[in-house]
Amino acid sequence: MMPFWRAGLALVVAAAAMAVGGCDYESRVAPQARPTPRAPGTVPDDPGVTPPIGTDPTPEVVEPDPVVVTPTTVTVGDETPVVIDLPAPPPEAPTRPRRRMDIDQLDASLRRVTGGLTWTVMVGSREDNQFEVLSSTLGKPDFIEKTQEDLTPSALFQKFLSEAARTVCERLAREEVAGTRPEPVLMVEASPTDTWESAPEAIEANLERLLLRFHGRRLAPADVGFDRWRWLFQSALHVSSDPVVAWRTVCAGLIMHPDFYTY
Amino acid sequence: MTTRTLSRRGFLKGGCALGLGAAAFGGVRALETLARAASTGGAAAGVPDRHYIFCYFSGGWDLLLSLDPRDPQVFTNGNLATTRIQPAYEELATPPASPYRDVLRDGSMYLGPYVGELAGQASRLCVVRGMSMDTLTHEVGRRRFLTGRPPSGLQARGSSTDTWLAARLGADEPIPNLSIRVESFNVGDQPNYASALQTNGLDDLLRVLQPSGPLLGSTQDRELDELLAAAAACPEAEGSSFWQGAELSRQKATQMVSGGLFAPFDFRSNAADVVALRDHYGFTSSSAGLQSPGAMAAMAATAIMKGVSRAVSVRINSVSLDTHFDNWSTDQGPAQEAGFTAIARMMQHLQSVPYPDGSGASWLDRTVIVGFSEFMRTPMLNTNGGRDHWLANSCFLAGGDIAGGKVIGASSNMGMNPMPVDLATGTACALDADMVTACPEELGKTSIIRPEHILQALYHEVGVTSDEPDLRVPPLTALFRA
Repeated sequence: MMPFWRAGLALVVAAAAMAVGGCDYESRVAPQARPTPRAPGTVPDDPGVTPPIGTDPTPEVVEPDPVVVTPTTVTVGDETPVVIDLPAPPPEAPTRPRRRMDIDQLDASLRRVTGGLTWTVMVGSREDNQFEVLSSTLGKPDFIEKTQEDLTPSALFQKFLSEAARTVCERLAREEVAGTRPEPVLMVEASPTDTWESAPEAIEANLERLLLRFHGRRLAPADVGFDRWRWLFQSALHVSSDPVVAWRTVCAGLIMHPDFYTY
Repeated sequence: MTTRTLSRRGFLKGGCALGLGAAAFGGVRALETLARAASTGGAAAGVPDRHYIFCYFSGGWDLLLSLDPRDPQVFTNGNLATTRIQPAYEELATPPASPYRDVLRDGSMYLGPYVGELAGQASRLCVVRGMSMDTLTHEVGRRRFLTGRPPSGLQARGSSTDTWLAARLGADEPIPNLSIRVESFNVGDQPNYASALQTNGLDDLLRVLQPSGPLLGSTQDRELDELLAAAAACPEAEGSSFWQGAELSRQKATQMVSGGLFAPFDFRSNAADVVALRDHYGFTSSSAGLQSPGAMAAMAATAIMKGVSRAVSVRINSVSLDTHFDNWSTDQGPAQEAGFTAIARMMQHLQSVPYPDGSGASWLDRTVIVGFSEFMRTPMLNTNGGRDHWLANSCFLAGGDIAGGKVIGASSNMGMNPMPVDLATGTACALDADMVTACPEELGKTSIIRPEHILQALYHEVGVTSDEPDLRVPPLTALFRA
């Protein structure tokens, strides 16, 4: 068992490391320039953007420049064509806002990425799908009382998403270690005993694979957006000394991240 | 730069599109501002300290059995063709001995045979009769009462009243807006924290409030939390109001779980105070018991009195009131009675505990209770021995500064139709039968009451007087004590 002070210190140091880790997904380092693996808690090479920890949690929103139109006066009944100058289009076209998966989509997505597992709980000898048990509370319409699905990422949704992620990832990791899964999805490039010290490249390759599988993001270890996942694995491994626990934590993080449950 | 020739119509269309686009861009900032309010909000100075409990009777209630009865000696089968009102108390599975009760013993408030123990709380009760719901559809009536606005098709327009009131007063509560088996809406014009935590029952609420499932370990949990918080601080996330809202919700979920909020709602516990609560409200710790009206009322009172919530909505009845067939004679009355009795005990509970401001007031003095359904049932029995949907309605309010022992408005004595009401006095002023009072001629003083008149009055009481919810009606000021 790791002493409390050591775990706390590791967390603080690791958080500081992540604080200087990257935000953006664009590659800032040439893909071929794989950085030298570093020990947990050390500062990454690329400073990136510093996410606030323990500071103001509500950052400023970057607003586009307003569209300005010079008014043209016309009178009622006047059919004379009006010549106006349309403003230039904004430099970046607005993108479609994110939308949360509905419960059926989330259930199906979990099955897809985990190779068939979803959020179930054993009740006696029966395996209950919790997305069905909690469907009403999770906002699924019954078309009697409720006709529209609530797709807000509410606190209730987040709570159950977290529970689903932990349940699925715990089972996935356990079954992969036991070798009872037909095909591993969580630990493919790295084995359950690989650590950062023993096989850093395997760890990074596995993280790469997981990001592609869970988020559809093709990130190389040199990419800035990769840092936070590397950090999560390293620090989870550091405090638990168990690579399986670290992969379980990464798995839960991938599912709880908006890149998984939104589109 | 593009130059085009446009007709006036085309120009106006283009202008609208640009305006909407600009509004969409501005919306991100507006939402962010609302999110920030979560950490700094609270009741404005001068706003009375109010809590709210909305009790929904699901399915459409038969008011002849409860809030708007008729004297069976007057409304008989002999004059049915004239009155179009058929109390049919003798058709009930258990015909009541006294179906038309003068509950205040002064002729000011008659209630039907199935109000249960609520009759004993009549002195604090304000009954509003003769309302119009303008619909015979369950969803439309329910959503109109919740939002104060007629839905667009079936879709609610505007945020619901619980959300508005929680936004106004509830920033400091851990779960400002709690809703069990009742819809609640936040269409984005209210802050994230005011959105209701909605569950399908007490068991689901407990599951939301306590840690469950396999745990990662506290250190891994904190690492995960840091990662997700850091991800939400990235530029891509900062530009997404959805992501920001999701992150606030995630943090709120973490706080709810770590805050130990579940303990007061653990009604299965055998702790002495929980046993006493179950005894008072009359429910058991079984799964069925936790879905009962008593458990819903106990949950609502607990959420308010433990400082967990500012607005609580519950579906109070466990058996549907949608009795089109002969289940009317067996289910309608008892289902309503169970709901009314649970509310009466909740009022007793709130009344018995002093409000912690040292004023000597009770929790009931600071809590407004609203009981409603989507509409009433037809005053005539159908050919199946049941009652169908009817446009009129009633509701009741109690607690806070609500005028007790008062009846506002009336349904007509011919077909139980809505009648105009003097909004200041609450007096019905229709021209039929023998309850005639001349309507004031001054415009705007008289109106057929709709849910929005009642909700507007609640808004006005807490200082929302500029009609931000866009109800477009004056408040029913007669609801309050002079």
